[in-house]
Amino acid sequence: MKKTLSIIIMAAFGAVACAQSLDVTCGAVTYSFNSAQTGVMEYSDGSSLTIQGKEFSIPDITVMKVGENAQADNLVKVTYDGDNATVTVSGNVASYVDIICDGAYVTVVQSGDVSDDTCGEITYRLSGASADGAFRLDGSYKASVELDNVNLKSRRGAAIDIQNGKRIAMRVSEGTVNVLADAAGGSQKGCINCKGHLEFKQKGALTVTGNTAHGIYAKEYIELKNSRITVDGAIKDGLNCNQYFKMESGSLTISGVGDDGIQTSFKDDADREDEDTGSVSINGGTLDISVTAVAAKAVNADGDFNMSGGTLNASTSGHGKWDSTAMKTKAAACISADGTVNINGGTLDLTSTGGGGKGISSDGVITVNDGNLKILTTGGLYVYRNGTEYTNYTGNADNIASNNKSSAKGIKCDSEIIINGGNFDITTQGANSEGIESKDNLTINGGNIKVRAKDDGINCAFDLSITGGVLDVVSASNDGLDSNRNTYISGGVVAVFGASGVECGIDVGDGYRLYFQGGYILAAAGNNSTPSSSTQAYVAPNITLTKDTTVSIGTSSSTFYTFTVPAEYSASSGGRSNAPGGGGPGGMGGSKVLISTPELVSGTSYTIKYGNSTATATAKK
Amino acid sequence: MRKSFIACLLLLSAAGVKAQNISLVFRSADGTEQAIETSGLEMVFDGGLLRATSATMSLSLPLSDLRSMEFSSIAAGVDAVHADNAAGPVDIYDPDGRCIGTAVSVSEAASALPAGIYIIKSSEGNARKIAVRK
Repeated sequence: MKKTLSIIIMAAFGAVACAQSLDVTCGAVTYSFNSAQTGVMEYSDGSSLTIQGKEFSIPDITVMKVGENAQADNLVKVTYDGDNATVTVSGNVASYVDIICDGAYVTVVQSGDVSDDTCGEITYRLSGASADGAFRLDGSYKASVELDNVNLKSRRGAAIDIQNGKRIAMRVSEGTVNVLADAAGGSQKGCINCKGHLEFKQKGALTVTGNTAHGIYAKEYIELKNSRITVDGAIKDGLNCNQYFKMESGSLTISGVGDDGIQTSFKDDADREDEDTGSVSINGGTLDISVTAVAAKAVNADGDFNMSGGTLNASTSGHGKWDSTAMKTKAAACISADGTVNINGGTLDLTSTGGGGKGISSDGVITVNDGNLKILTTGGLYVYRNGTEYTNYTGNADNIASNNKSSAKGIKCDSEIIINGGNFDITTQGANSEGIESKDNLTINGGNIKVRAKDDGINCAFDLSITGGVLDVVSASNDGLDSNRNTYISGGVVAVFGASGVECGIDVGDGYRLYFQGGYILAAAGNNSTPSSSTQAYVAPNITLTKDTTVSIGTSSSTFYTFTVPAEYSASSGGRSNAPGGGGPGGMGGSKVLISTPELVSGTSYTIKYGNSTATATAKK
Repeated sequence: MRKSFIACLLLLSAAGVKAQNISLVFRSADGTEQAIETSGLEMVFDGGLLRATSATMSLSLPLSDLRSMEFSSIAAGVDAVHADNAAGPVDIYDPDGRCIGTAVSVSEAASALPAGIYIIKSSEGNARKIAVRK
């Protein structure tokens, strides 16, 4: 009964007294108490006044005013105006924050007593402009920082420095434009420098310039949703964080940086928490990242790179460099992952123009299930030899140790590559630049894969297996498909074109075999490896293919399949005509054209129409 | 008696309407109270005094005597009274004259109520204002 009575009474009282505020101003800071919450405000010995647990020293009070509108609870408003800033603190959190204003440098120390059991999370709303100001927040409980048309240039460290190891919601208010720049020559790690994890939210715009180190730095993870963020310059990375970076929506534009666009690292190498993945995950939104530094990466993950949606437009223009510590060359890449690369959707447009520059470079397994990948590399071979750097080496590099050279590649993987789907459009133009390279097995189960490579179109150190998908591959100076072990083709459409002589359509490793087990296959140019132990027959007609023509195979009454010879293919003179056996497993001396379809029967003669000509050939296994 | 109580409530209700301009009530060490309307109210501390100025009045209060202040919807100028400990069931009204509950005594009402100004109607039918301090 008593409780009910109290509730009724409090409601009635609140209804009468809710609107007004008591604003207690102490210098640049005003504490705005809701008159419905203040209750009895106690004076003590004529020297202090306590309101809602906040004790004021009477001499510190500039003025007290009663206003008509109480500020919302749990809010600290910081308003910058030139060389000064004013702060308004909601009365219910007045006793939980200590504030120091030094001109336009505002420091807030949030009490360790803040929790859901006391006042709950506090929002710090920043607005106004200062060319000599900053915001610093310390504390030990999650908080929100709201950017509400704030324009800050700091001359003393970070523009926003959050020494709070908990979750910081960085709300870029919708419809606002916010600009931050930090001081040059400081010790801060970022223009936005955060000890905890940062979650960017809401649909406003934020531009950041990092004049000492990174544009945005967090010691823990960073997530981006809805906000439109631009890093228009940084001495080091555009965005640097530990644990992981995840993007759900919004946009992130990075340019003018001295190192990587996005860099994620493990926070703790010895004892990793679940979220300490070092990964970059893009599930939506648009990223436009352009980096120019030597060996810089547009996206650089110590862990995995994951993409399931959104758009990544990335470019690098730096050439490789010699790492005297690791004693090996390092090259630029649009995407670099020390872990795995997993692409399940989205659109990637990657361009790398420096010597040794790559589209995607991964230490771990690359798996592509869906998505659209357009990759262009124009750089040549980067070589570091005898203390001399060659950014576009054109000599014979066969005898240069692998650690001393780095060639451009569309996709390079030190582990296995598995392609189950997706649309690939890969072009490499520089010397020694391959389209797709795996240092392990390479498996293609689906997808549309177009490669126009200067060097090998698709290369793997171990077995190459193709069970599905559509391959349209041209190498200008080497092999269309090149595996150092066996190649198995059991499905899909495989049209591959090499150069001439030993540089052919399909090349398997010495002592290994080429297996035709299914699919529609055309391999052209040079001395193709000869299929052996295959279950699907093939023909090796003595014909020369010409670009922009078609070649079909069938009988006099039906066509089994028609291939198109790409515009980029140059007819070669290499290869032997109808060479039986092809020199044995993995040997040279094979035919310059191989065609295989499931309809072919060994020992039967078929008609091949190519351009305006016709030839016949007998199938064999 | 009942008529007088209703009249009192009506009077206070009228005062409540007037009190939509909330007052700030100051209490001194000796228990006296002074109120000032909050419309346009500004307060500064100067020379050991709290100087309060509103749109219609001003106050100067010695800091050394000041013990508390509190917002109230009782219009400034209503005489201050103290709660007593009269026994017996009492009805409790807010400053607008709305009955908000019943208590067995003034002291119990005072302990249950949040800080503020209330009208108490005793079992004898007497109505009076009390100030609850927490």
